[in-house]
Amino acid sequence: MDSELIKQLESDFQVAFARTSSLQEWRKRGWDKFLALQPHSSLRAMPRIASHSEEGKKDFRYLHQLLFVDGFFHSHSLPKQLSAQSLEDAMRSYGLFLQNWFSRSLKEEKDPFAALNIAFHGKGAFLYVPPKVQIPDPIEIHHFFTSSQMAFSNLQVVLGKGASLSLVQRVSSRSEEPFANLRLDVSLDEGATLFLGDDGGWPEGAIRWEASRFVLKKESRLQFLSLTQGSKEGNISLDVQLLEENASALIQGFSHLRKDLSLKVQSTMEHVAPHCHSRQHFKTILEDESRFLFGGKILIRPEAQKTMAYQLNNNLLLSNRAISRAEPHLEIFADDVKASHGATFTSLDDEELFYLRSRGILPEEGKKILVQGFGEEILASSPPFFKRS
Amino acid sequence: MIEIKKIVVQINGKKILDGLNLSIQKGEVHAIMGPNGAGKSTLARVIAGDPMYEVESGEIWFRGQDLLAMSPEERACQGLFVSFQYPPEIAGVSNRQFMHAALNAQRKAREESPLNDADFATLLEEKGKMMEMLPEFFERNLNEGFSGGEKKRNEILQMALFAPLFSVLDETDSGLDIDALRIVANGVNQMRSKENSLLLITHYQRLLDLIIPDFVHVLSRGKIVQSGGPELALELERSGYGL
Repeated sequence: MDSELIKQLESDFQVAFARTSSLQEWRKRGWDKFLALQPHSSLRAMPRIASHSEEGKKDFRYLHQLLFVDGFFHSHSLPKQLSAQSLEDAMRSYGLFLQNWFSRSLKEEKDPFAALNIAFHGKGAFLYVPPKVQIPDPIEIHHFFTSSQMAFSNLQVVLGKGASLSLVQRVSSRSEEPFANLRLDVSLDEGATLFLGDDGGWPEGAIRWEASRFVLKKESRLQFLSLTQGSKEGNISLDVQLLEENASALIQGFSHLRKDLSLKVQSTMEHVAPHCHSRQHFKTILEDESRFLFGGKILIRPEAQKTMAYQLNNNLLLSNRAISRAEPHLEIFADDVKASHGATFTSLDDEELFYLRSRGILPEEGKKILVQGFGEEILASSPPFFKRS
Repeated sequence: MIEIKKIVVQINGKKILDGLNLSIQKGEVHAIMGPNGAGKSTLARVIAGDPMYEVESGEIWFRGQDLLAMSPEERACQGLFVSFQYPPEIAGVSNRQFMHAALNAQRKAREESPLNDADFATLLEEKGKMMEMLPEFFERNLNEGFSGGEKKRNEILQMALFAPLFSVLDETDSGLDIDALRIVANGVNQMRSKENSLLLITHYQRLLDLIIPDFVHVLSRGKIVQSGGPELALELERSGYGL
């Protein structure tokens, strides 16, 4: 990326930071903690060039990959119909498009870490799926971390009209405490389809901010599924905009948290156009002293009539020291819509466990079966390649 | 097979079973009838080992062993099966997965080798035919969305798979239409042998027309108050419990 653009982005970031200088929103999202962990001055240091790519490659699970090492786009092995390049190169081909995209994103971004990523994103990648190209095999977005220094990763994905793609994000790390700020922006053109699976794999000591932003055009379909076991600080921020008619988005998550690990999910579903459908469903199992926060928002704009938007958060608490919180928000400005939200907090059902035991199943095995069953509803809707993983 | 001696069970200070005695020998089929609230289902739960039911006093001996000292899973592995009146619905756990896990848990406890997927599928198909159940039924989540009749048939299917020595069927006939009742009764009758025993808990004579018991008992206020042969059930059907 050229230095002029970097300067511009840094300037935009400062403006964005100043605009919210009341810092209520930023503080809510842990900004103070972030600054304590990472002095602001060090953010300006450009990340070093990674030199451990071979080590990262051994953990690939899928045939096709995009490899990021310490946040840097390193290499790729993709089907021949696809084109992936570094953001630097992409700026030469799609400069105006990307510049506008970044500027708009920065202005609209409410999450400070996601905004920070735009301004200091290092060497990201741009993946383009041409119109009508349908890729049957999944592509692995593999993040490999070698240290606990903060790594910025930025991936921009554009699916052309009628294109179809499956992405699976995976992580491996040499460091037990990687510190990652990942951002993914996806634009789905008319009739495009995307499955995005997040396969977890984070070390327990990881500090993780992940922001994914989706823009859906007419009749496009998105399925996002996150599986995670939590980490020292885990944050997933999701924004979906259904911009044109008959777009649909299914956002799901299944987390199993243990020890003192935590996860925060902030999910916003913005319905802009009529006749769109969305569903957010997050299921979480909490053990020991783990913590989970689900902040889910459905925003239905005045033009988005005939919207169907649902949100559900189910929590299974296996310890009385675990804490889970749900903060659902509905903002509806259209009058002909169906929208709902719900949250449940339960422990294992004694009657169900007794039933299994009365058939010869040991209590520990019975608990395991019930716990697996709790997550199965989410896993059942994922593609076979992801289920196997 | 099983010897129940002076069993007393209290719930919230009220005696539900009050010194109940019952002895069932190998190969026998017994039926317990009685009005609502007599303690019939409590007896089934106590035999199964439900931790919610505390036995205040009394003994239960099963094949010469102290049943009350065993955990619910140990009882099942020793050859006890108690069908549930209201089997719970368990999301995300397939019927096949559950039954396979349960059968292998019992086999493991008996130091038998586990059945692999193929062998279990063959066994399940065979027993499923006996209960007139379609294979799709096995892939559904355990009891989830099952009709009342399907749940009861699924209980008897498990009984067929586990081949227990002593079974308690708690109101297996309730909620069944005529056809489902016939299927369930046929299944149970096919499993009767000189080696296993059965305790039927029911409100109605109609089940006992299809599964003919050797002995019928009337349970009232936590005790067996009357015992007889199959004719006792017919008499109760005519005259009511009158208790």
